Amino acid sequence: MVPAEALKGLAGVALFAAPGAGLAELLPAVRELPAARRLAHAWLLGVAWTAGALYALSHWLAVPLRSPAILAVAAAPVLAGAVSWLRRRRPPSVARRKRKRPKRLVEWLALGAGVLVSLALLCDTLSHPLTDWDGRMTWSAQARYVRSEGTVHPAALTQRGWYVSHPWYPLLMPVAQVAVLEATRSDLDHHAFRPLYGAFFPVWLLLIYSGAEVLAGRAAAAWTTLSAALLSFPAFAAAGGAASAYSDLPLACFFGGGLLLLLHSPHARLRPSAGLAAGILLAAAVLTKAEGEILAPVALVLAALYPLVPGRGRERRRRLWRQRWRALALAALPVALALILLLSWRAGIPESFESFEQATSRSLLWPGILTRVPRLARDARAEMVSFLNWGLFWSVAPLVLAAGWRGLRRRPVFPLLLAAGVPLGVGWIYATISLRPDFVVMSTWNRFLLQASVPLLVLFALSLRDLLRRAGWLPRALRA
Amino acid sequence: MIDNAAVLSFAGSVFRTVALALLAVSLLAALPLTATRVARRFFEVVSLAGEDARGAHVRVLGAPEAAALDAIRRAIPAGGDYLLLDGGEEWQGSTYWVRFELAPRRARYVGRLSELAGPARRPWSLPAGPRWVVIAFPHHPAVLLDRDDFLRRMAVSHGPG
Repeated sequence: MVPAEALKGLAGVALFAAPGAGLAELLPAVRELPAARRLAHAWLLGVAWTAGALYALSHWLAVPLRSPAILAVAAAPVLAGAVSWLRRRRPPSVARRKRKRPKRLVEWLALGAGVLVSLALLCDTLSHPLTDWDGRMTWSAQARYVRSEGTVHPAALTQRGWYVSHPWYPLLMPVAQVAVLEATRSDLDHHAFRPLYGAFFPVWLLLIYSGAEVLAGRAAAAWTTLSAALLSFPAFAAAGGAASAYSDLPLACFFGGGLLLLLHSPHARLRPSAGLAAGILLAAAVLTKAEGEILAPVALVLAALYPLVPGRGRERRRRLWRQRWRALALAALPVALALILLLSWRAGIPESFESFEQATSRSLLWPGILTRVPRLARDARAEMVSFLNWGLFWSVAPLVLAAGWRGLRRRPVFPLLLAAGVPLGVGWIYATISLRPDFVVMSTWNRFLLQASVPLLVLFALSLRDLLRRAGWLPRALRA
Repeated sequence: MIDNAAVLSFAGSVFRTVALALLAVSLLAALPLTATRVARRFFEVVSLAGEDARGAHVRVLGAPEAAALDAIRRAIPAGGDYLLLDGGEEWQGSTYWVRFELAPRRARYVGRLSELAGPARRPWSLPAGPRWVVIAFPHHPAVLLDRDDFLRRMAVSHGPG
């Protein structure tokens, strides 16, 4: 690694972090979040805005994906955010400063593990070129075609007959790669875009910590984050982790981040700016991977139905709905725009999902959805108990969830369960209709788990909270 | 007389303790693997200090493979196209890696070399269009041939078409 070249990778991260910080400043609901959560959402907003806007500008206005457009798109929220910050700048009040609580042992452990693994990932992404399977087969190959012609309509995609894998896969992450490589004027073979993917790992940890902290408290959130930081698959797996150029971890972050914003409003009413921020993240989910087309609308529906979860009086439900509908409409707007963009872009790509259609048969759905259960369950379990990928986590997590079942009697549990179930359900149906289910489970199940990981781990934290509260024999520093 | 509530409460307490103990075991079990992976990356970044992106590219691909790809890149212009043949099996992915390395040159996939050499594919022919044929091998450098040269070699190796 040459320092000057490593700087390109770091500049690539800054290309999204800076506009993200600007957007976080502009959206009050994000600006007022605790620092960890604000940082995670700022990064996601930055990637969503920069790559999403470039995708739309290239498709609808034929703006070339070159440095001037990339820097202008990134600079706009930076400038707007700076102006907003200067206008409202106040010294932090004494009361606010006092609110900072000292970290406990387990929080230090989680922070230390997260920082060490994230730094290791940064080293990996700065010093090695891309070597994973899907990254080279699909995402980065598409990025090279896009970069070469400066458009999201390269001839390799728009003309029939060229050898391209998954030409209908959305291009948000390839466009993000192009933005990094163009803005840093990197050579074709330079891997300056890899830190962009590596940065999603600490963001994923921050989302899990902050999402869990709101519902389950600091101790359970910290233990859950420590468990997540020590999982090999999300960090180091060459087939979907942050060390790869797969789009599953970004999708998990966009989906999980958007969902948590919609479900975890600290205010009784969902603020319009929270809705808009969630909508931007869910729009990015739509443009990140094909599954996002299902996950983003599901998150919106769950957020809309959340006030209707039993346990509230009819009048209170009505009031909640009245307080939330504007924010939900603002969340739905970017998602609708992203879906329109994706469908409109696909209209110009002739090859569609042909490889997927060749590998599946809808006739297998029934009665396969029942008869294939034992086989798929065995294969999925084999993936989940792989020590190299997940350690013992998936062997222990069901026990924690069962033993801490009282912690799951909270209102957000039902939407979180559904949100976690949808990616897994998509994966299950895909394996069911596949002509080679064992291969599909082997190559995709871990990634569907990753897509579901944010709501799953928040549920884990809720159960853990119950266990910790009842474990009077544990030192207080570890459980409170 | 057995107090059911007390028994259930005790069983629940044991269950919760076991769950927490197993969680602690899972965290401890994950530590060595994570530590090894983290340490390896820190060590690598030190040992690879001074290596530029081109050097990293050659290190990962192997010098002969990188040289072969460079030669192909020089022969086919960046906006050009080529016919791609798989010299291995599909699951080995060699056509994906070669296509990625040669992108943005566009590839037209012809099939597996072993299938093309079978009697069902005679007379030897190639899809119209690109002048160049690239054969991707899983364990050897990619080969570039002119289409006429390729057809001639097929005839020599496998008999006339």
